[in-house]
Amino acid sequence: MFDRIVAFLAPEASAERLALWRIAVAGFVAVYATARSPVFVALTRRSAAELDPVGPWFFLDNPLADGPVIGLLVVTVAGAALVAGGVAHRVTGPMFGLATLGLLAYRSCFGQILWFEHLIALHALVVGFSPAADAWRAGRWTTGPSEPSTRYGQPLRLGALLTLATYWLAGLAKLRIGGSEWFAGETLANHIGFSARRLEVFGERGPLLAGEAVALGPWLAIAAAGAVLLELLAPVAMFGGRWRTAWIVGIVLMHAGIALTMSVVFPYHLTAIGLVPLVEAAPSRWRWWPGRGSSGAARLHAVIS
Amino acid sequence: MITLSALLAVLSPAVTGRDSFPLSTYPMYAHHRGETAIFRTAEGLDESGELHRLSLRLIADSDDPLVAQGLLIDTIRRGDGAALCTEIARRVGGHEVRIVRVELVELTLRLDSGEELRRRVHDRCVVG
Repeated sequence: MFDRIVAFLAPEASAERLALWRIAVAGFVAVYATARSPVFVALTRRSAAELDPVGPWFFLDNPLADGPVIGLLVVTVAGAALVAGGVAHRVTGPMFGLATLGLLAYRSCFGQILWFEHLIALHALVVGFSPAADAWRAGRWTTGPSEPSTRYGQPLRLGALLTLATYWLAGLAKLRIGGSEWFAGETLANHIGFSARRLEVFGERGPLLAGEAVALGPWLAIAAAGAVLLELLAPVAMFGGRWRTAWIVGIVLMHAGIALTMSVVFPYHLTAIGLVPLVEAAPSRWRWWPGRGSSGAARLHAVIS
Repeated sequence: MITLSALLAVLSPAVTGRDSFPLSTYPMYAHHRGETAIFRTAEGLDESGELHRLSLRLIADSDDPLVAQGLLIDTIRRGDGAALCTEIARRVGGHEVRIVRVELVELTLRLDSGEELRRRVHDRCVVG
């Protein structure tokens, strides 16, 4: 029994798989932190009255000075770029993980509103503190496939479990707080209406399919129940195979639906970067363009399993 | 052991109910907001007194409605609206219509029809 638990928590994987995840996470953070840099720079103008410290910043009584905030942003972007390139990972990896956690947590000290950033920080920590640059790193991009090892499989499994845990918690919150109203579709319709009105008062264009979604009536209830069930059933993705494929497709569709009906984009999830550690096959076995004759489901399965 | 400990830590808010960072209960979209909702925003008035919606960029220097909403709620709650109003007034130069006054308002709207039930002006400032 103990051996089976250990084998589940630390399966074997190749160094290339972990390296692929490293490049995906660090690449995302580099682009995301750069694109949102105005928001992070604007944190320097926040006052003590707005501060509600969370996580690693629990001890703060006053906002950080401008220098440390800008420094944190620069270290995060530079660290992400170096980690994506696999440069001096033993030093840059932990620096990247901690800086990402620090920057995103600091933004949440002024309003805990972007919950998708939690998973980014968690994944950055795992990538940063794991041997994720044993393959595909600066000066060593073209080596042959490595032997699978638990050393590389363990961080990937942890990343996958963290992704699934966050979805499960989100489903649990909807069940606890929203209860039956969520399954009836009322809460979802309410959120779609709220998002549309909010954009309206901000002088922005409303969500593309908000009106159509609310007009769906009972079908919206099915979509709402499906979304909560997808979140609560996140652990089934660990069964692998078609369970995992079906869950991943469902979750990406759910995020696409959120974007189209509420104009709320979870970039880390919608781009499926947060789902990368769930993909288990070695990259060399992936078939990005499956051959003719296979069914649609089989083609999709071939791509992500 | 590391994997198990990290997983239990991430799942712990399910028991503690504590929403922090990066450990969270992920309560987004769990609450029903009711039939009406209060929105805080900034509006511009032109020389004829006509109201114009201002963009997220002009209001909050952001492209994210969640960030803008959070900023307005916190600012108005603290009574610091005057400073934000002045900041927005400095940015409205880029608006397509010549805005002469900015108002920070709190609107109560029906979510289904968008009908405005109540309007409260918290702060106003002159542009330029």
